[in-house]
Amino acid sequence: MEPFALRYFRSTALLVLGLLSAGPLFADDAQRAEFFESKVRPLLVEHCYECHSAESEELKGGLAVDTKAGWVVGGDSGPAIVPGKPDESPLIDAVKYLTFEMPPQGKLSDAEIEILETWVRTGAYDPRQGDANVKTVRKGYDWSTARDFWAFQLPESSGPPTVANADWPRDDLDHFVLARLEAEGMHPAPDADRRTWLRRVTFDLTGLPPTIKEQQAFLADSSSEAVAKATVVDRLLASPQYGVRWGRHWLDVARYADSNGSDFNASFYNAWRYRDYVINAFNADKPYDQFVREQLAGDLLPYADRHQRAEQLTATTFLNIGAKMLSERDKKKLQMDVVDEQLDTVGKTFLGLTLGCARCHDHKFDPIPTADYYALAGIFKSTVTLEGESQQYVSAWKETSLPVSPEHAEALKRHRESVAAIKSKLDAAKKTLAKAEKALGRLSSSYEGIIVDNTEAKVVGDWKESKFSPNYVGDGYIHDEKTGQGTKSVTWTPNLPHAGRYEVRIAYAGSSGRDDAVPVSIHHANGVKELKLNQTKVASIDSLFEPLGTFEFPAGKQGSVTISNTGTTDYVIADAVQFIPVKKQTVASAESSKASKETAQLREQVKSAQTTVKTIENELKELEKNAPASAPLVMAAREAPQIDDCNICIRGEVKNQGKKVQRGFLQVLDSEPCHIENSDQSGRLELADWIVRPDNPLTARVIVNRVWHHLFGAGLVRTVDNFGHLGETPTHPELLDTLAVDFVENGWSLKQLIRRIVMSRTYAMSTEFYAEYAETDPNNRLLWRANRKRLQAEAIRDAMLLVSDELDLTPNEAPMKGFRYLVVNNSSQSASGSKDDSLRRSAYLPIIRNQLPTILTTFDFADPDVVVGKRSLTNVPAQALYLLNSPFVTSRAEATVQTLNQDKNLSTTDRLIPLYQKVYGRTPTTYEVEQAEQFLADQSDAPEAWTQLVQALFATTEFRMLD
Amino acid sequence: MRSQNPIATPLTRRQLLQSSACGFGYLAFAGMAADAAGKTSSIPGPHHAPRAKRVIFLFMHGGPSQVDLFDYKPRLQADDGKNLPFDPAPNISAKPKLMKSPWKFDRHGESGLWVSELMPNVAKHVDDLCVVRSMHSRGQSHGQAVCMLHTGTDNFVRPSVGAWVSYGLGAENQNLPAFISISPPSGHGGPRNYGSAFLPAAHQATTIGSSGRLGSGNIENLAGSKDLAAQRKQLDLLQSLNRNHLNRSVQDEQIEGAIESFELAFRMQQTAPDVLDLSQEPKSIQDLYGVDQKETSNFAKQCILARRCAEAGVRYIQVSTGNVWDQHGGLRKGHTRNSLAVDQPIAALLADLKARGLLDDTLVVWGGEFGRTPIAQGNDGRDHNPQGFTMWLAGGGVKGGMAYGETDDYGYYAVENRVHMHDLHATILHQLGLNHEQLTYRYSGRDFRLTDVYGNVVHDILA
Repeated sequence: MEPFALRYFRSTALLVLGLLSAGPLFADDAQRAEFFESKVRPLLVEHCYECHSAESEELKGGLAVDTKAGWVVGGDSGPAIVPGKPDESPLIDAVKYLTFEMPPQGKLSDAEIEILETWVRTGAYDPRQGDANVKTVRKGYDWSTARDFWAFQLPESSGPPTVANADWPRDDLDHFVLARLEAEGMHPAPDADRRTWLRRVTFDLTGLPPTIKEQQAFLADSSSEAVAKATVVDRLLASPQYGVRWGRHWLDVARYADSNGSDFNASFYNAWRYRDYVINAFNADKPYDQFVREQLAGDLLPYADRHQRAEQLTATTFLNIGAKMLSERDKKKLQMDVVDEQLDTVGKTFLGLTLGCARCHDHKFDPIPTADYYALAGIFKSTVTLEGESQQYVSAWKETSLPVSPEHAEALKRHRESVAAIKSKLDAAKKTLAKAEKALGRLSSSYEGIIVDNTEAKVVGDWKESKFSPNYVGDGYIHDEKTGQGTKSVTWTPNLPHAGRYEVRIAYAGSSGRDDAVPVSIHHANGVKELKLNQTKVASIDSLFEPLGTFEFPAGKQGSVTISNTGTTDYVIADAVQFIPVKKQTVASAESSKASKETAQLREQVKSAQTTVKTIENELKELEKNAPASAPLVMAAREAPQIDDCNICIRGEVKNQGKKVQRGFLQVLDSEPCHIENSDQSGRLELADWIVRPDNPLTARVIVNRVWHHLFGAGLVRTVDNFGHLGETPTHPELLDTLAVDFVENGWSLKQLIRRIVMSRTYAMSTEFYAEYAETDPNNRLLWRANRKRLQAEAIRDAMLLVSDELDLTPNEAPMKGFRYLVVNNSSQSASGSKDDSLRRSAYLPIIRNQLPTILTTFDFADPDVVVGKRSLTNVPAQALYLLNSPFVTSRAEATVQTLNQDKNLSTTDRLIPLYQKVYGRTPTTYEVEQAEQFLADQSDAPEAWTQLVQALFATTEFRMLD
Repeated sequence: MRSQNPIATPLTRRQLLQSSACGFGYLAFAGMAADAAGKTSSIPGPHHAPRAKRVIFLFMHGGPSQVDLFDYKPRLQADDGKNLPFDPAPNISAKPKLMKSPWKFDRHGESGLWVSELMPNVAKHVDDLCVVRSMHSRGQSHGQAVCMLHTGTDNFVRPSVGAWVSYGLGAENQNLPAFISISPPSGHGGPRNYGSAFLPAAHQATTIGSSGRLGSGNIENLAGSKDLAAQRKQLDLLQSLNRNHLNRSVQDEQIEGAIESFELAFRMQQTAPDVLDLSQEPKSIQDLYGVDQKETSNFAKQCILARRCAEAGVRYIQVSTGNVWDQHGGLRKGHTRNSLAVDQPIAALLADLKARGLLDDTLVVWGGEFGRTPIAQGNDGRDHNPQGFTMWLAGGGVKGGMAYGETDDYGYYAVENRVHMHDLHATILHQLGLNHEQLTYRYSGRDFRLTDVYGNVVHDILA
């Protein structure tokens, strides 16, 4: 029997009618009910209930379709059905496999889909009572409760609490720490000794160990403790190495890298300009609010001069530097993925919020509705990150020229103009030449031969025009695109004035990458000659013509030359064929002397035109050789040509568009709705201002906490990138708030903040262990002692290089120079690039995603694919293996031995003391000296034994940790 | 004011570590999964009785053509040269013109499953294979699809399947990594495909070789030829210094963790070279895999290595070809060469596992990131096809000699009993005793799963 519903679709007229009104299809509810019961319900039961009903083990997508209320309320994508409108009903899209693919086991038949469409179109009659499944009822946010959460309240400064041990604090911040300890009946650990403090503060501020000289100077400083320490701290903060260390901390959260990684690992040749911008910003103590503004909207900020303009443009590299799936073919999806990456980064980095969670559904833990996500997404969708393609389907990223000096700009302008002028001159000259050649070709058929260009040839299959190789006949040549082997050919057929013998020459621009066995066939009076042409070789005559032999041809269009791409494996070029009569055997023609004179004249013209072309070409070459350096490029963000709000993508699916939301910020941080009205700009500037406005409760807290984390090994909020509900609450909320408020009042100065903290008594505590306290507070949340910190990967490497006197402190420019565009190839012949051998500070090593220097990844370097505010701390055998066996560590140990005094008269002790000072910042104990002497003596004090000793020291926990 | 360690305890692990008199041999090290503090992380699984103890994943990088290998389509053969009667997938370069398979298909085994002449040796094991012909996945380009296959996402940074398995089950052999990837791809996501992302770094794969090549066949920075006795002396000095540091610190889990990890590393140096030493295999086994022939030698060695790792207790072993299956052109030559390179080694691996009784609890999975179009690109090529393709499974509690799911008449779109990559992941975890919905890790504000919010275990193919 014909399906019931199908009868209604027999005529298009009825179909159209059906779209307009539900009326004519079903006369009354009884018919609707019959249709539902006989057709729709069984379909839903059979194909949908398993996952979308009260019987489901887990309600998928939050959607139930076993009651009317179920689909009216809908699941994560909102209401599943819009009665009367199948085109707007997510359920219909899903069964058509347009969005979700439901049911997942296999698409319904067309007839079944039509049943559901008819049902929806006719108003989705549904008698099934019952509540929407409880699980589907989604709660909105209660904003006033949501805003009560500690992190969304404005920080307030409180006066330092009073403490019993009033002698202990040195800074207000110490009061907060001590008061907490006293409340628990605990005492702070005694101060660390001077050597320990010096090693700690030197690594913390510069990422390097104190030199022996620095150790001696500090130990010998007889001024007061505070003055002596201040001298050290000020020296360290003024050192350019401070910016290298703290800039690198920032690069962790900025997910900095010198290549794209991901699917298509292209070199970011200009990323380093941002790296240097960050290091310089820290060294110059750029106010943090300005630092934030520049990274988000530097291209939109006013500037005093081109230097400031360049700096601010460079800062926006922050937005562009994430890893992207460049080869994603669905470019709309790619765009939203890039926006997501940017949003997630901005949220974590500046606000400590995981915004990415709200892409697919309202944030389950924090009050961030999907609408807020897309309000922010509109800002980044109106920003250009990607531009163009580096090859088919593979996107490239936006790069922008930096402003240059007026003289430089003038020189570039002049150069551009000169090049344009010469090029037009060259074009004219080439035209003259072509004209003359053509005239000559026409006239001098019997003398100079006949040229048939590709434009006059019979072309079979798709051939692509090209001028890639500079030498060709006429206006370019064609090639077979290296595709469709066996299906393409080109045939040149000359119109020969006389029968006779002709030398046949074929024109092509030979070079590598072309095929070496191109089949050519010459159809002549006595048959066909087949041969193979090697197009990888440059042709023998004028680098353009290759003789194919001499053949007899009848007059007229009887003969021809055919080239094809049958059996070829590389590019095949087709340009022109020349037929030159062999004079002796040519029947002399009655050529008038007039013609001959004309020919001679034309030949002269061709010759002179050729000379002119050559001269101009040389001029151009010369000009390019002396061209002024082109303006430097940066990966700056720019405004999109079209500024627009963004539609919600339901469940994060680009194809599943919901309503449009006005660009704006997070509702939970604004009591008044805060929208961006500006339709001329993306809104990044407004966003930046919103983030750094003094009453944003998160921004200052987040950065102050990051600083605390780096100096103490744990933040006051330990989840440094997450201040939301799943993050931890602050261990010392008043302290965090006071520091945040003071930080803003002090002009957002990071150096002042750092100086204040490292000069405190809290920072000066030793790591002394106290079992009783460890029982009650094993994680030292109350700060009863200093945390023993691990050295980061860079510090381990740099310290080894400093100990071995090999460290190169000079920064490098353009670390990716010399690397290919695709730095790690996707082919099996991958020759990958990685530069482990540099002896510069680790921050200057090229950070090639997916190909990081081994020492960095082994020791928990920040994964440059994601925001990393807190590096992981692992203890894996790979670290032990690296320290014991890697050539890098062995080489540093060998070099260190070379730095030790080689005077054989020196005692072993005298040689050990400076070694321990360099490695540990202290002298060895008597036991350690004995132990080392024993180890060396066992191996007859051989140089290799010394190397092994140094290597063992490098491998120790004491070297790799800060007490 | 402060007393020194007033708590007296019996001989603890800590005291053992602090005392140079005690050896380390009898300490149960779990350092591979050790967290920052050096303590063993709690292991979330298994959630139910496993059918497989380990997985060998044979990754055919580039995308082998289902219609030329396992998915026989008479209509495609008949309609060669005709236009595709429905729309091709968007964003591809192939023209909508059908191209038949240049290879002959035949039925094999008692099950009578179709296999093309490209895989004559694998065809002999067809009664052990569960051929899933209705795979589909995300990602029209390699980068997305390769990441999808390995990590369950085509754009985010997420842990790889092997890392989830290591996290879920821990190591079987404490002296070896739980996850080894042999010659993994260097491009198309590279290390992401065997990385641990936000899971603890101990769960990322230890790699041997890269891009389909075995290279030296060694784990990086393993002492190799170094004199282990001499290194032991150096290690004793080092550990003595570490113990002094620990004693001065009274108690520090990080230092303890480091001390343990040096011992584990040293023991790995004694264990791993044995496992990696292929010369220990008798000639008959080497010949069975095809080590002696130029065409098969490389992949044969990788397969033997995979079997040795499986025997030694590695949980998740991946073997990868280079990115060689990507025949946009030169299909005849390319697929012939690639099939030749893997056919005998894979057949030998199946036979060898079976002979050793290992196939029952080893799940072998074969496949690429996607398949290829039944329509032609040029006149001797096929384009990418995540819309429908074939993967097969063997051993580890799946039914043998069965085909599951179907593509349309031309082998383009998966239409019946569709199996998404998420479903395959759910099924692999299921066989290992892990529930893909319960195997979660909290990171950055939410719980993550390998299968995100998707995935259904394909119960129909389970024995």
